[in-house]
Amino acid sequence: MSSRIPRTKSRPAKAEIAALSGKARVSGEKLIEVKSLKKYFETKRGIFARERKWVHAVDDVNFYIRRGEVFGLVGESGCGKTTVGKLILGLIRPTTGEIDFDGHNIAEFDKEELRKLRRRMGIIYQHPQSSLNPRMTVHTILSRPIDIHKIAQGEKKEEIILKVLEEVGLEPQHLDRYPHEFSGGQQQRIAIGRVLVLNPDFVVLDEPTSALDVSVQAHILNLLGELQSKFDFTYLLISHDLNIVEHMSDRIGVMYVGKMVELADKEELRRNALHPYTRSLLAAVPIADPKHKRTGAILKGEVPSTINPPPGCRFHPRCPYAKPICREKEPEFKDVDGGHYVACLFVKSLRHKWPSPA
Amino acid sequence: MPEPLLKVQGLKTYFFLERGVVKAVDGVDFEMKKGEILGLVGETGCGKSVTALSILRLVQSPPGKIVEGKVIFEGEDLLKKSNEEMRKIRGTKISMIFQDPHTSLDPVFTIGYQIAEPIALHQVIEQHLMRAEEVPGKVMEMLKLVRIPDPEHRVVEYPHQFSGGMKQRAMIAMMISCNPSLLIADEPTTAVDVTIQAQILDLMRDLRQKLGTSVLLITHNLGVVAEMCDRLAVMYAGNIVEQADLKTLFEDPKHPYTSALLAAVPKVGTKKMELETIPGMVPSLITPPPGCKFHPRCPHAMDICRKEFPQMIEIDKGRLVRCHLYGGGSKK
Repeated sequence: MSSRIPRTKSRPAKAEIAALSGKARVSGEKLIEVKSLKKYFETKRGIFARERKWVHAVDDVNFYIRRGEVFGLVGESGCGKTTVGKLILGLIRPTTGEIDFDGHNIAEFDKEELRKLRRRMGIIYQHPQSSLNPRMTVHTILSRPIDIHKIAQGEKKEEIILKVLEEVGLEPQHLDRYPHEFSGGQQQRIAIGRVLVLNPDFVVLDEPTSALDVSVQAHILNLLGELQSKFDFTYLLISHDLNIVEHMSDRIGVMYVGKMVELADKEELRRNALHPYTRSLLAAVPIADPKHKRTGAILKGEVPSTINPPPGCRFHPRCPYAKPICREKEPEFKDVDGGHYVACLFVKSLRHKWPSPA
Repeated sequence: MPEPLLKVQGLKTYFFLERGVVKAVDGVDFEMKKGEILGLVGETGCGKSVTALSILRLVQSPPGKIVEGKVIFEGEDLLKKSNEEMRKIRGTKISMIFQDPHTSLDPVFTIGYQIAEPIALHQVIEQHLMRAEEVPGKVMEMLKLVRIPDPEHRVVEYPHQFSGGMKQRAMIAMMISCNPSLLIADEPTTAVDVTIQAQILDLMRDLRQKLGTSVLLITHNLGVVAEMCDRLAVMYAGNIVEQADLKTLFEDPKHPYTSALLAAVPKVGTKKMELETIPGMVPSLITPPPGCKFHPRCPHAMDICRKEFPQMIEIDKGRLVRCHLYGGGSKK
């Protein structure tokens, strides 16, 4: 096996860490690092269109995910958060940039190498209804990944399937049923099981509970949290729901129109959000507490198009503190305080309280 | 006491399907005062949308049918009105905003035309409150009221040229153009982003202030409810299980389902820990469990809960609970 992916190497280390703490610990070691990642999609061209137009879905994004942590990615629709998830999984190829997974730049991997790599990765989508094949039984759905990656056969395979079924809270009699016979929450459990059979290192959760009711959502979030500490998963949690991201994540990155605008520890981000967009986003989230008073102004305007993003800082048309220079100069994504990254030209004045908007 | 604006009594709406009768709304009672925002909360399939559609008599029939009950609006029972009378009420006195503005707007007409239509029909033709020449001015006024930027240009644009948030604003403009006394908003912000949601909620609060419209807000989002409503009604499997004003309900939920629902919401600012969950699943509406419909999932279920359907009990002024824990034949 001349695979570039040293599969066995990471396992004992992870087990040791888990044994020491009894719970998943963030080791500090980077599992994934993304450098100057860009993904542009060409828009559909009409017959009369003269110029080529590009959707700047992800535009120069840098961050890393530590082994064993939950990294939350928030932003509004069209900000590029799902594209980042797909890029890391190698489901789409970056326009430029580097994606390091466990020390290998997967942006350069060929198809075969990617296929092998995917054994260590998984994704859970928003709509379980559409991510599960309606013509396959639960048993087929769960055995497919095992067959494809030649993990086990015969009795060994059945053993894995039954074990996984138990982990996700389903019963052996469910194996012969089809996805439509299950409720949304149970379907999501099947989708989680499909990821679990491979025992991956890294799982992308793309809006895992957006299609579910509050009480079902709580079940699924608890299950995901439980599995993470049990199997030491590293999660990339993509969601527009700040409540969920806050609940699950260790660190949070905030995206706006293809750019990462702020990244910090969960607590730091809540107490000391610096970027004006993050602040508005935090203020806009409705809090399920009647005593809570909305702080900060409601953001005006709409999310700009990623086809012609505004020049300079992409947030300037909606920013209550924008100055003329924001229209011209693009802010750098800089570490301002031990792992707290912000992309804003006025990062110094951000350190102090913002003046009230004019 | 002033007459309530809307009084729903013993409303039952069933759907007659081949596999059985779905009791989507199975005895719903509530009242709304003038100018009030009442939140109707509950999970998927609890009957909150069907309740709203029944008020407007928009339930598709067949298979749906309002089998029992009264919907008394401004002193008159809407269920006894003729279709023609109902048509005149819809859009003028009661109007409704749906979840998905993309499917509620007609793609082949301009936004301006679509806002003008109810004004022309109700205000000009039916009620002679306005002359035809005044309609464009009224449309512009509505667009400004819902804060659509650059209304002079936007008015001739088509829905596809509008973003999701703008379409929802246009919908609101259309719905309030005839000054309804009741606005039913069914998940009005579920399809839009958080910052846009904040704008729309702010707009709705503002409109209530300016126009005094009562709003029946249907949502599953308890955060939205906490920000918007004066009073809440919680629905479960076709019934209202608890009713109280907003603060009381959040601080001291009485029904076990309400407490469980509140505890299941992840909140910003709390430590990472297990969320409370409700065991089991929402029951079938064709063959609901006997007695209290929540008993199979309830941590406090007693013998009586399995046998007798609990009545709504007023434990305090305006504080209603449908649970055996608070009266009837049961002792704790």
